[in-house]
Amino acid sequence: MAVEVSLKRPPVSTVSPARRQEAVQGYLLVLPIIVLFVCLIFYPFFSAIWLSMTDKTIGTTGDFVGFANYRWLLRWPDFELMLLNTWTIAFVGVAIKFVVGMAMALLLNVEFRGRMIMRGLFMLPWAVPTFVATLTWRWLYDYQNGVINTIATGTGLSDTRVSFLGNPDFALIAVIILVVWKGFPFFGISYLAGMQGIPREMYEAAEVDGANAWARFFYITLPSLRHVIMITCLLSLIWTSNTFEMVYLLTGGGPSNRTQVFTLMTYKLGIENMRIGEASAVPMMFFPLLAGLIVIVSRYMMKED
Amino acid sequence: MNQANKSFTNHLSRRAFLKASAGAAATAALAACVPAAAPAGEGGASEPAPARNLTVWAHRSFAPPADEILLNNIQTWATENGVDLELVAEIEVPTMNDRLVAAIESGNLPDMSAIAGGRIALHYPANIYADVSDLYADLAEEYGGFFRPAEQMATIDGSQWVIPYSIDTSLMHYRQDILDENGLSVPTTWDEFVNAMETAQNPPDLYGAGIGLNLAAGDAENTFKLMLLGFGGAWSNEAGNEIVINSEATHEWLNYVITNIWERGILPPNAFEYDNATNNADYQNGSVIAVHNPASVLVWLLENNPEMAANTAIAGVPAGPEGAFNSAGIRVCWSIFNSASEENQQLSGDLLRYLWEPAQYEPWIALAFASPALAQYEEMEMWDDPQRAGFLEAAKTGVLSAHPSPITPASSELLSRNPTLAMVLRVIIDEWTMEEAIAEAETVAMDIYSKYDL
Repeated sequence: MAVEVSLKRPPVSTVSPARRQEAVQGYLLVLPIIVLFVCLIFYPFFSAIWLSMTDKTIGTTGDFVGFANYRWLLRWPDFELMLLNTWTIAFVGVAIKFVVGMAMALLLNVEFRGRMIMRGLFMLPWAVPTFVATLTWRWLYDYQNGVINTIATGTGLSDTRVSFLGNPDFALIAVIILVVWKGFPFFGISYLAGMQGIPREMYEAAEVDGANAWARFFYITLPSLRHVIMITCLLSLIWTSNTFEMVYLLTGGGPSNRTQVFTLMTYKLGIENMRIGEASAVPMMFFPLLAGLIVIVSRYMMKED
Repeated sequence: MNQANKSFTNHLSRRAFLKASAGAAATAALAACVPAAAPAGEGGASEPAPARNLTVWAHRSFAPPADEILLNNIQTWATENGVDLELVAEIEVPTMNDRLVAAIESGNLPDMSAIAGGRIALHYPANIYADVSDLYADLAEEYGGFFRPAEQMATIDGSQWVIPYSIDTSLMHYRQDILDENGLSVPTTWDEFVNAMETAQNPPDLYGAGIGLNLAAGDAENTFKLMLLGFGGAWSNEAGNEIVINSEATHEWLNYVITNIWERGILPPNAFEYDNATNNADYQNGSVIAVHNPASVLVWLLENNPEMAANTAIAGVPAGPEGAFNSAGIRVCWSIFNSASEENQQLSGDLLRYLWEPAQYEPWIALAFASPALAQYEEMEMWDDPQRAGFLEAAKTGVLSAHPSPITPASSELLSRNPTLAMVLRVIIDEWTMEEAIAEAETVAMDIYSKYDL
C-alpha cells in the first residue's frame, strides 16, 4: 500500500531573524516605561475606580456596592456647592494667573536694570512651600493680629477689624487670592521662556508695517505662545482643582462649607471617617471633566503639529 | 592618576569589572545570610539573650512637661527591662490619627500606641486591637476601678480593647475679675450666661463668649451639643440605632441659640473663622470673657499669665431646661495591637502596668491637666484646688460625645462632621429656616446611619 507522504514545507516566516531581534530589542526598550505606566498609573487608577464601587473602610476588604457611593455623594448636602467652589477656584484662579503671569513675562522680557533680581523676586511665591505661604496669608487675614487689620485700624482706614476668613462672601475670594499668588510665577516664567524664542525680526517687520504695541502683542506674541498658554492653563487647571493644603489650612472649608472643595471632602471621608470607598468616589466624579479637558487640548496640539 | 592606578584601570576590562562586581555582591549576599558568629571572648558557649524590641507610638499634648515625664517613664522602663525601644512621640493627635489610618491599611502597626478616644469605634471594625480585658480588670482591681466614661469608651461588645489613661473634659472658663466688676456671679444656666455676657462685654474690645461659628471649631460643636442635651435634645436614642434629632427639644434649642447666643451679639465678629486654637487665643489675649475648653487654656495661663490664671473661674457648662451636661473624652488610651507578637503584647502590658504605678502616674497627671481614668488617683491633694476640682468632677460624671448612645462607627462618622454646629450655621450663614436646618440634619444623620448595620 502506497503511503502518501506529505512533503508540504512548513510555512516560512516572512520576518527575518534580524528583524525579529530588532523587534524584541524594541519591546525590551519600552518595557520599563510600560512597567512604570502599569504600576504608577494604570493600577492605581483602576484600583481607585474599583474602590469607589466598594464599601471598603480602612483595614477592611469591603464589598462591591456598584454606584451606591456615587448616589450617596449626590445626596450629600452642599455637593453642588463643593463642585462650584472647586471649579470657581480652578477657572477663576487660572484666568487671573494667566493675566498676571503674562504681565510678569512682558515686564521681565524688557531690558532694564535689575531685571535678574526682579526675576528672582517674582519666583519667590512659587518657591515658598505651600504650607508656609498659606500660614503667612492666614496671618495677613487674621482678625486679631493680622497685618491687614492692624494696618487698617492703625492708620485710621477702618474703625473696626474685619473678619476676612469668616465672611461667607469673601472667604472664597481669599482662597483664590492665595492660589493666584502662589501660582502666577509658573505662568510668568513659562511665558517668558516662550517669548524669548520668538524671532525679533517678526516684531521689527510689524513695526515697519506700523503695528503698535497692542497689535504686536495680539498678532505676534499671543499666537506664538499658544502652545505654552494651553499647556500652562491645562496643567494649572488640573493642579488648582486638586488644591488641598491651601484650603485646608486657610479656611478648613468654612465658613459653613463656603470654601469646601472636593479634595477636602476626600480627606474627610477617607482619613477622618476611614470610608475609603466613598472617598475614592469623590475624585472619580471629577475625572470625566478633567479627562475631557485633556482630550480637547491633546487634539488641539496634535492638529497644530 | 598615578602609574599604579593607571595600570590597574588599563587591565580591568568592563566585562571583568562586571564579573568582579557580581562576585562581590554574591559574596556579600551569602555573608548576610549566615548567622553572625558570637564574638570571641564573650562566652560563645552560652546562648545570647534574645533581643526584645518594642515599637511604641505616643502623641504630644498641650502640656509638654507632662509629655516629657511620660516619655521618660517609657524609656526608663525599657532600659530597666532590657527592651530595645523604638519610641515615636513627636506628633500631635490629628497627625497621629492620620498616621494610624495609613498604618492600619498597610498592616504596618506598632506594637502599642496611644489612641485618641474618639477613634476607637472607627478602628474597631478593622480588627486591629488585642483584647486587653484581663489587663483592664487587673488595673481596675488594683486602682479602685475605672470611671464610667473611661469604662464606656474602652468597652465594645462586652470586652475592653484599650486602656484609658486619662479623661479630658471641657469646662467653662470665665474672667472672674470682669464678672466681679459687673457684680455678676458665675452663670449656672444658659439664661444667666447670656445675660452675664451681654452685661459684662464691651465691644469691640471685649466680647462675651468665645464660641466659634465655623465647622473647623470642634470645641464649639461640643458646646452646642452639650447645650442641646441640656434642652432635652439628642442625635440618637440610647441604643444608638435611631435618629431622634428632629424633635421639639431641638427646635427649642436652636431657637434659643439664634435668638439669644447669636442675635444678642455676645459672640465676637471673628467667630466665623474660629478653629480650636482661636478661642484659646481670644481668651488668653483678653478679648472674650468666657470660653468652653479643655484645660489647655489654664495650662497656658499658668505658664504665661499667672494673673489672668488667678482671675479665671472654672465651672461646668450652664444648665438648660432639662439639666446640665459636661463632656468627657479620652485623650490618651493605650492600645495593644493584635499584629504584635505574643511576647510583645505581653511586654506592652507590662509597660502599661508600670505606667499606672503611682511613682510614674502621679507626677504625670499633676502636669497633664487631665483627670485620671482610675479612681485611686482622685485621692491626690491637687484635686482640692478649685480650678482643678471641676475637671475631676466632670471626668467622673461627664458624658461621651454620642450621649445618650454609646460611641459607634456611625456616631463617630456623624459627629466628625460637627453636625450640631452645622444646624446653627445653616440658619445664621445660609439663612435657612430652623425647620429646614433641622430637617437637613435629620436626613444627613439617617443617611449616615443607614450605611451601618445597627
